[in-house]
Amino acid sequence: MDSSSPPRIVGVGSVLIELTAFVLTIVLAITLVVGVTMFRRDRYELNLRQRVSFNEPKATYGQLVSDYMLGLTQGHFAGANATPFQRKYITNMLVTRGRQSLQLLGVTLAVALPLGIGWGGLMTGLSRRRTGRWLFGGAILLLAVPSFLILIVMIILVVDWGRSLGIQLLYTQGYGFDRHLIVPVTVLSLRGGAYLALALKAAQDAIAEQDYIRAARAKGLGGFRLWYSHMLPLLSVPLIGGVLGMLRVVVGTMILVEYLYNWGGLSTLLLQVNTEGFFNYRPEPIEVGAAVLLAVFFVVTDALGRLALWGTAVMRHEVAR
Amino acid sequence: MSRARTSALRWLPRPGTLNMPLIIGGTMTTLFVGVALAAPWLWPRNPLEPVIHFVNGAMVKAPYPPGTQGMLLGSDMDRRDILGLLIYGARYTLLFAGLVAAVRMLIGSVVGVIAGWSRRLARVIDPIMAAVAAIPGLVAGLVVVVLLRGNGNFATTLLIAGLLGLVGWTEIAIRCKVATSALRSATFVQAAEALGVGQGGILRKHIIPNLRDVLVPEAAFAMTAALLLLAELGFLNVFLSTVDEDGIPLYIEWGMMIARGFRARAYGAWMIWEPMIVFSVAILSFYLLAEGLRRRHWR
Repeated sequence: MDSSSPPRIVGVGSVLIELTAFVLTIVLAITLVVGVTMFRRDRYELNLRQRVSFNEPKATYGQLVSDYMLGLTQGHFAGANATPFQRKYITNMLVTRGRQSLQLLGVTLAVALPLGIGWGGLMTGLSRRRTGRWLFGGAILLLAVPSFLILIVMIILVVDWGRSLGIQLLYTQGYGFDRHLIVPVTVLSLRGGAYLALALKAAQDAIAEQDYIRAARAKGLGGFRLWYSHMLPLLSVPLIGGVLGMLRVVVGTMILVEYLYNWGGLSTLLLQVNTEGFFNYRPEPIEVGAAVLLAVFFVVTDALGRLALWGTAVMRHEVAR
Repeated sequence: MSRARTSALRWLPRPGTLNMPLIIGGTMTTLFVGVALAAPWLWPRNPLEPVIHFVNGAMVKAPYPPGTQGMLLGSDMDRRDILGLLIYGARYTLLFAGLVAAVRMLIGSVVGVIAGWSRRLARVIDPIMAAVAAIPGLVAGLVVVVLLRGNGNFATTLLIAGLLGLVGWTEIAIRCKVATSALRSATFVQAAEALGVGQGGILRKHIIPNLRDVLVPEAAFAMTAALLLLAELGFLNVFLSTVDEDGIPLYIEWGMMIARGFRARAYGAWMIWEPMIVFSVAILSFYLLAEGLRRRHWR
């Protein structure tokens, strides 16, 4: 690109790439799940198509994928050959479960974002002190150990110890929306916050070596004011990248969190269908639907994040160069 | 005196300059790989053979708690020594995780180098990478393992492990892409181009050797991610190992131990805690190794 050309915010090419990725992901997700379901169908005589009798020939792989795609274009998740009742039932179930997952994710993000930013700032600010090293070690530990270990430790801390010591560490008893959310959100936001903090620390370490930061330090500026006025404005690009990575970590962990804490979301549904068998009848559309919705969610957040990244000043500068 | 100390301990690194993650991670991973390789010597008995204890002529009910005579870590529900299972489990777990990591590294590095080298191809590759990145590894792994597992054939299990590597390679590809495109604009590459060296020659002689600093830590990170995936799948009662008609596992894997231990935790918490801690320490070791390698290359 010529250096005199105006910087662009979001190029048409980027939007096209995102759109292609969007369609491709959905096709990939459906092909993956339907393809593997076909493999199982041969063993269990299950079929995405509603077969009238066993004499009817089995649908081919291409027919199954096109059936499901056709169903999506008709606005439901049950496959083109499903009955109206099945369409309504399966779609409603997926939408309800999807809403539950989004609730958990929304609250987690609201907690994890400030936690990660603050944690990252403290880690950089206190990097030469023991507290900073502990914060760094804690973040690495939270990311490196399997998420179910954190889940079980949380259960032991909150429920078992609380019961034996007669204290309530977290307000978790009850059936309300807020009370059920506390432990799952704590686990998810700890892991997500740790990821974001580490991502921001790497970026802040690079910024801290810049001359103008040294000059500001030499003039006596330090601590929170230095971070807030000189470092934070430059963190937009790493922040978006970090949030995207955090989302992946959070959604990856969410599958286990929903399963262990019995949160009635999309991941639990997928696990129930996969490991326990949800229905004796037509479980595949649910399975495919849950996988498709998860993939759609991933690709939409990914695309939004990348478009936001294109919109930042630093990226515009890079493109203009 | 200070001069004497300086000369005598000159070979030691200065305090604060030690790459502790590399030292700890390297030592621990060497230990795990050593245990996996030396399993038959460390545990000469068949680890799947049940050990039956009698007290006053009556058979003691399983599981045996840790510290039971001859069983440092106790037994599982089938009276098998957990220590033996963990030692032999290291073999298959590291093998499967290594396979997953190898497939991811292969795909990620090839795709990344191509995308970093050719901007035209990058336009095609970018949406594919975004699409693959959008599929959560745990979900893909769950679907693949649950639906393809079953006949107990070792080759099939290896194939499933290989299939797990088909997702989760995008991070590696992105790093390789960034590094390749940075190297492409380096002076020595431009000089090679000016001297008439072909694209294949530049890639072979200048780009790929210089990607070592990116690929070596990424390999350790890929191993960490693969172990994490196997552990989390195991927790969901989904594991690569299969059982025969009598319910005896054909080969031991830590994921299977976690799956069975979690379901039998009411009979003894050690059955879940022991494999879980070993798995977590192994993952942490590879993570520290990766972090240490990355720091080493940053210097």
